[in-house]
Amino acid sequence: MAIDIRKNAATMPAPEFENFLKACVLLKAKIVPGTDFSVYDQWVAIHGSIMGVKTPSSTMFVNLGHQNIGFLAWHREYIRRLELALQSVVPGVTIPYWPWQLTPEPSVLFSNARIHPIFFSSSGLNDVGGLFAGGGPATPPSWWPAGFKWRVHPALQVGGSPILRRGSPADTWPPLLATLTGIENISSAPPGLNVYWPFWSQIEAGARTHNTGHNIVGGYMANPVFSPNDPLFWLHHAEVDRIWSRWQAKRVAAGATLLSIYPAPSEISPVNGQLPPNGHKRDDLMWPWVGTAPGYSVNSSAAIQAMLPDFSAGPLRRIRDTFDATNMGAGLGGYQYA
Amino acid sequence: MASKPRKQAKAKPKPDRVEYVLGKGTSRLLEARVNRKEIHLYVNGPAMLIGSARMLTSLDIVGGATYQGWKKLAASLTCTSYCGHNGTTKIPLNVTTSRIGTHLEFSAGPMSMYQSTIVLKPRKAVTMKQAIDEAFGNPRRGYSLVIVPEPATGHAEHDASIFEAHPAAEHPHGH
Repeated sequence: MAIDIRKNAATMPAPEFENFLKACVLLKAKIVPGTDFSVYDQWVAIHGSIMGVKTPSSTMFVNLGHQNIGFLAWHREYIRRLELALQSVVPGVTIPYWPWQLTPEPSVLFSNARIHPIFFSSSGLNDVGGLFAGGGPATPPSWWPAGFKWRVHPALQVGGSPILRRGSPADTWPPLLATLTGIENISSAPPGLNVYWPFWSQIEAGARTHNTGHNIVGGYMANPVFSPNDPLFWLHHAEVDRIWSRWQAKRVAAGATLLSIYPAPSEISPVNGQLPPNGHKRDDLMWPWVGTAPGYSVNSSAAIQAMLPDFSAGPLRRIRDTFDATNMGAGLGGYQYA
Repeated sequence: MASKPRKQAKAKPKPDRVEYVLGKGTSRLLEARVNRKEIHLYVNGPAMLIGSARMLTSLDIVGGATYQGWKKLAASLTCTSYCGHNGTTKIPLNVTTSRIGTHLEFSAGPMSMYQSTIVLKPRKAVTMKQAIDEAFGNPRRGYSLVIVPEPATGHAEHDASIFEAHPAAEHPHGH
């Protein structure tokens, strides 16, 4: 399998970007046989369910995709698998990345022709238009599925809204390029602490990074359970992943190994002195790619659980399996960023 | 790994504001008496990780930190949450008393898991430092007034069921 190349969403050729939009639409229009939901909806359901997973060694439901160190690895696996699903309907397509330091509006990326405006610093929510308009595009492209409209499945809706909306009163965006470079260059940590800890805390929940990006887009993107309903989610997380990749490359160039720049399984959290929850440590399995391992359950609604794909026949996937994006194994191939 | 602590890079705030991040492992003591017109708090997981914040001072009542001074300070500031999930929410600044003194408290805003921004600023066109000093009678000696974030309580840290779709739910985007 050739290495895939993920490109800058703002500068990549328009036809290539349209291919990404086309793949999202075709996956959204691809209904799982015998159901009323699409393959795309299944990926939203996975994100909704990762918010609360009980593992064999835990007594409570834990977020296995956020708020702890497994955040980057879980999302790398998740968006790579989505990328492969996109390639099943549009061969060769890859997920573009949103260059965060871009001033959102006006820009080529946030135009009607690409991912549509995010209504930065608006006083209310606005319906997303273009290809994702709830009533369908005004002028559908030639590949558009007949009669298809981008509508959010009822089980995945917020407030009963089937229409994608964006808009946020927050104005804390964009980050400076120097800020992102500073994060990429994090090379040390307090004594006894793996250098991954400060990097992770900055990239997930720092000033003007992952969490802020969700907040300033607003609408579905700001709802942690249902954010992948908005295709901008994939671009946002490709940027998160790109920065992780660049940070990893810099550390490896300085002599580290990919394994050494993630906390050892026995390293306690500097936040609370406890081991990270099962599912976040380096050798832990990542739900839902746990095969037939017993003891896993989720606390999402029954309707959402019914939408989850069956991965029981697939390979077991652990946090450490994601460290090398260029060779992820298990038939996932690899990718790089242009 | 090298063990020397390293200062983390931060987004460069606009000149009229100071920005702080509230979340796991972030600073628990944030200076509010700053020569800026606004304080922006990036609140990760409002009501899930961060429940509220207190404003405390190193000043004593002799120096000016009286109940009356705190009342004046609360009245002189506004506190607003800006959230892509919940919209704009005005947050009351509550004057809280105990047997050992007075302080201000404010909520971290409506529940979300990603992040919201809380903006604290004086009602008048002055800096936070000027507003605080005025409320306490312009104390002559130096002092600190800090924001102390408090963890959310009363539910599991990760319980995200609140965000799930509910057929009868009101539209949550209350802009």
